[in-house]
Amino acid sequence: MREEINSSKWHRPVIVGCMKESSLSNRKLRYPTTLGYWALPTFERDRDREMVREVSESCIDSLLTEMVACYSNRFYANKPELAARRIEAIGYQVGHQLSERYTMERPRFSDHLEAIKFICKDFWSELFKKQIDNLKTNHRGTFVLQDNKFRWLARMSVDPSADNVEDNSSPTAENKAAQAMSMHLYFPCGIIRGALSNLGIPCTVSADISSLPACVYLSFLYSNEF
Amino acid sequence: MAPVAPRSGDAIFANVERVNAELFTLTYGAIVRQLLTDLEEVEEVNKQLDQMGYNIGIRLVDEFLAKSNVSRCVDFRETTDVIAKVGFKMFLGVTASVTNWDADGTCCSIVLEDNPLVDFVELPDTCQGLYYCNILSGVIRGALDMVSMKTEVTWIRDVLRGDDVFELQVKLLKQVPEEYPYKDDE
Repeated sequence: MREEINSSKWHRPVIVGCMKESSLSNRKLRYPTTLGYWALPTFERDRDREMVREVSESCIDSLLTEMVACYSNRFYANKPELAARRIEAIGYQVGHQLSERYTMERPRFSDHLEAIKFICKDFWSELFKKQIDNLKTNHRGTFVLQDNKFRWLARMSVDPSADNVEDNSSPTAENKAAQAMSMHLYFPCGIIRGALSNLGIPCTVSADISSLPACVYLSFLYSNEF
Repeated sequence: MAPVAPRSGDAIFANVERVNAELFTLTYGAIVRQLLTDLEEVEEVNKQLDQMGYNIGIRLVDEFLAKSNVSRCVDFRETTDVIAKVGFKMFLGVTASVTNWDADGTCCSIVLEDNPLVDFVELPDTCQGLYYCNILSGVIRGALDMVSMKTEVTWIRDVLRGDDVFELQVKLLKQVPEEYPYKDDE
């Protein structure tokens, strides 16, 4: 609490790393009616006063690597689909909370495309200091976000024996590399799903790597019914 | 090659790639939450966080040595000082202090006033036994293990449990003599 009130850059002390779901949703319910409700420093004032807090990139890199290793090698070594679900759930939680913070002093998005553009521009910039490079849609509820230099995979090395994708000489090594890689993609997928669902767009998100480490496609679809 | 001067924690932190700390804090929070759901026992979560920290520490020490140019520490006193002043600064962007030395110089406390891991965090009543930052003690233990120091790292004070600062007790258990795989004269 102390910390939040002193250094919070935001109107409300929301978002808690380890807190009961109920208290989160209680606060959320108050949100639409809270103009001036929380007598806390405003976003602008605080941003002027202090820089956004940062940590070394290695911190998040090693945390993610270790989290993925923990779930996919230790807890669920033989059940990759369960490991994937857990990793995605962690991402979902993070995305949900981050989008709550980053949309705090914005007007409501008028349509889904607005929200998706927000993810591609502002949200992505906060996370990776760059925007999504390309956004495509089939106008039927599927969007494809393309990041040409996805930071979290940029320093990942692939098993050298799996280098020759063309001749398929070592399918096992290749599979292994691909599987390890895909485990690392569930987390960002979860982040996007969490962020969008917080913006009122329930969807499914999947990722695809075409040419590593250059390019990652994150595609997601939502039903048109909403 | 001429010896390179050690760099200060601030200088390194200014030069490394940095990311927004919220992402880090919330990711860590989400991991702890997920572990609590999956493992159910708070004790188990503490153990797992420590293990994760250890695994991170044994890798992070390489980056630390590569970037900081520190030379060999003469004693444990200097080692903990470097951890507090350079190590914490270059990774988390905060500085810690070292106090409470015992008489023979093998046990001390690292005191952390500011800790990015716990921004936004409150522990619910059900998690009172949780050492939320246990990953940090694991990191220190793992990193020191890689430089031949077996240590025991325990939490003495924790802001989340109502104390005013974070205090980690680092106890040197034994210093493993290095075994050189190469000849003396090389």
